[in-house]
Amino acid sequence: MGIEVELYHRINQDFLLDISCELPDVQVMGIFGKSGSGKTTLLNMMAGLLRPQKGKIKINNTNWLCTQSGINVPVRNRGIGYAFQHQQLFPHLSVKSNIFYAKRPIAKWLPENTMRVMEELGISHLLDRFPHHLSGGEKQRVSLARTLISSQQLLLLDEPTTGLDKGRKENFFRLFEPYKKNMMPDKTIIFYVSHYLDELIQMADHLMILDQGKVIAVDQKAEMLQKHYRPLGLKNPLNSLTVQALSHDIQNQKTLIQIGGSQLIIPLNQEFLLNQPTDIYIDGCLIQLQNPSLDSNALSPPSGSNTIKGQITKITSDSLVCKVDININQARLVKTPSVLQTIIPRYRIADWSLIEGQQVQLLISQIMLENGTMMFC
Amino acid sequence: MILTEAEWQIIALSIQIGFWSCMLNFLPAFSIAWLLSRKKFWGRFIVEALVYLPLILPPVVVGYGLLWVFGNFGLLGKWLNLWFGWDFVFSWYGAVVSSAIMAFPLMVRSFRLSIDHMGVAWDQTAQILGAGRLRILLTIVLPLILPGICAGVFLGFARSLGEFGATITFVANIANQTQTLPLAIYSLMQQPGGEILAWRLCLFSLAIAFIALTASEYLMRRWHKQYF
Repeated sequence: MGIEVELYHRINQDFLLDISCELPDVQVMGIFGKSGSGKTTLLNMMAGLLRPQKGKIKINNTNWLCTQSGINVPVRNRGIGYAFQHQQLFPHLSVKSNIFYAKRPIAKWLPENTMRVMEELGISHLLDRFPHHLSGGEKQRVSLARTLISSQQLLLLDEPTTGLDKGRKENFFRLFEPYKKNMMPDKTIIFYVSHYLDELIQMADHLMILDQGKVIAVDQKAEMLQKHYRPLGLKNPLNSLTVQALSHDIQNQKTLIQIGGSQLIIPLNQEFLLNQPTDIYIDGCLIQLQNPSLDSNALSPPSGSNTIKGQITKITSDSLVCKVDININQARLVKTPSVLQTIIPRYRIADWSLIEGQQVQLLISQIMLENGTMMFC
Repeated sequence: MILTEAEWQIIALSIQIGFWSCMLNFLPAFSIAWLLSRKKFWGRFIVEALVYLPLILPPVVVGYGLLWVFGNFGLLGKWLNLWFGWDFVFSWYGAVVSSAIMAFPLMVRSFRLSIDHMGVAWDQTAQILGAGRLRILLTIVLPLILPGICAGVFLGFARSLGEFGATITFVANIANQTQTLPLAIYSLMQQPGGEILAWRLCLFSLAIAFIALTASEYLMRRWHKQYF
């Protein structure tokens, strides 16, 4: 699955959309940016609703647009599902007719998939109603159902959880994973636009940051959270790790997880499936680097349960603080980088004589799950 | 109020001419309305000016122009008569053409308002869902703008019924052929003792115009309320 996008379009004197990116292996691209940064314009160009002055769009090696050679695949032939910010339900058609308006066959799609989508989105009882009888949240859910059921090659979601309450949002996120794995045609690419970083963390595997029509950064999610955390609105790098739950101790309410070559104990959470890779996130400021010059036995907290061993690979100065990259050896679980990044005061580098290549211990006090839940260690 | 046979004939002719002028106008008015609403092209302002010209030109000027074009020795009339035997002058066909031209701007305006109000969003949504142009027209556009279309047709029909200047100039005032309601009222006014008959026809005209306007307004409001 891959996309290649080059778009150049001057909308007015003050706004120029100038996007260029090539990502060979992306399934869900999370697009983040302030209002007016060009997110919806980008989606409209991907859909073919707006033609750029110059540009090229290639999805899975198929040219959809090339202004130079005159290629422009018509909108109706692109096999797109598009959940607009403003729903765009057909007012004269019932909910059922809206959902099933697209008559194209979708590879892998089974009748039970339709039922599943409608149940998770809570719209099965609305099928005979008309859009003007629906609330804003109901319209949004119907729009999502119509989009998920109709997309073939590209799925565009523009703020899809707008108007949904917390419970409905969780239903949507819960639906999304099985949708991606079992219902969506193979090689379908998803563009997910949101103002909420926690949604993008949960849904996307790549992140793109837009600002005033330009791409500030685009890369895999883990790299973006660690290296480009400031444009994402974070104060500190957010380290993405893949861990494995080793056991659940229900009596003592704790779960043992493997991180790199170390183990961590967290409060019992059976959402961590045993021996299955699970992504977690650790805020760079919540990683405490322990003074390596002290006795190593004295370093361990009584339980010895929330420290990770690692090796400093890089120290980067940044005014009064330093970013320290630490390799924690995740050789067995290589989906995400093994390097944690933490921030410590600059004086501590000298005080503790920290150098690259040094073995250190990290004290982890808090982790974040993919759904944004924080857990103390 | 019971109408005489002569009055019914005048009304029937007026309705016949009104009906056929709407039929003649429908496709061109819809096409022009769509073009002006959805497409940007050079010369658009010229097309708009030409479309709305009959609204402000003196109707007699329109009628005189029709004589030059469709008269028996006119630019087109000569050939239409020669090839097809069509004779517009002094016939109800000519009355249809003059009424159609005068009603055209109203129909275009009404259709265009509906298309403008509808916007492009639903059209685009249907395209994204894989619908072709014809399916979009039949399943999305026409159903959504239908009340506006009906309102435009009612207005056009009412305007056709009331057309006087262009009709009398182009096709004269011939009983059972071109004598529509306004022409009949005009003739009755010239006759001694014809005032009461003129009044009767005036009331009928007023009723039709009132019904057409209120129906048009009702449909537009209802459409707006339902979909927007």
